[in-house]
Amino acid sequence: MDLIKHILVVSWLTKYCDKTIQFGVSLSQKYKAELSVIHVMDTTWLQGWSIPMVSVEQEHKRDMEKYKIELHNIISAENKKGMAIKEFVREGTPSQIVLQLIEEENIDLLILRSYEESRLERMLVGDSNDEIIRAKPCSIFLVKQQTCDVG
Amino acid sequence: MFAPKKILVPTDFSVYADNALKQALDIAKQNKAKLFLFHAIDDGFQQCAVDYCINEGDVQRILKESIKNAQDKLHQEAKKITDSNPKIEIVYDAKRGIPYEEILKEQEEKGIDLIVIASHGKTGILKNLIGGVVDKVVKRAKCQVLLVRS
Repeated sequence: MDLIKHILVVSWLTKYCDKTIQFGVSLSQKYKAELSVIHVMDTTWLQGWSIPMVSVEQEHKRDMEKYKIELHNIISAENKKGMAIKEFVREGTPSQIVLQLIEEENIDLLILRSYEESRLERMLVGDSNDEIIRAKPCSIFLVKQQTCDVG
Repeated sequence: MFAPKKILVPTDFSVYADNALKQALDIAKQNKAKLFLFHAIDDGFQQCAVDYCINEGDVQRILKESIKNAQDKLHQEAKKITDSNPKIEIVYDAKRGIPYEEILKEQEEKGIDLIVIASHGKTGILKNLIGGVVDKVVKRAKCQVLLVRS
């Protein structure tokens, strides 16, 4: 696939996303494309509360740190195998951050974890996914949830 | 390692779909996969307008012809591919129904592991819209989906 020179994998920092990264590794090896991974820490929901929710905030950040370390280990392992993966860690509104990075880095293929249409999933990742897909900034590869689970 | 063996390419014969087909062909070559070219004809055929209705016989004839025309076009597309890539195995089919449902049915029936579909490219205010069919396929497909930017 000559048209694909730079692949970006979006990690929502959940336990399901390591498979998405493996898909990215596999595709970038196949098409000899550069690979980047972005970890997006969604901080929008932490804003706007009139009562500080310190414990929830701390727990959320602790979970995210845990997943970030796990994903970083996966990336480091691939880097050691000779595969150069660029890693970005950003906070904010996920869709905006991803779209901005696509433009900055001239991404040709975006790899996203797909989701089921349950309300909970939609609340957690659905909207961001939708916003990115609708903006269609480049070709998008959607990795199915089942694949992530079965792994 | 991701290596799809059966790739479904829904086409509406537009240039966007041709672009998606090219990408699917690349992937098929890399993975020695079988290509399934598919066209769904929308069943929402309006038989009546205000006080005028087309008779049932004509409607049936039009629908039959539309299937035949689609099959012919798919045959031409498939021939073009096999002429330049003789090793690629390609199967084509056209069905009538609700497009996204037919695409998803095809995916399940044929055990497809990758759908390569074009996102429709529009300009101006429509830039942020993608086709209703694509949207539903992306959300409901039970396999990986590659959405090719138009």
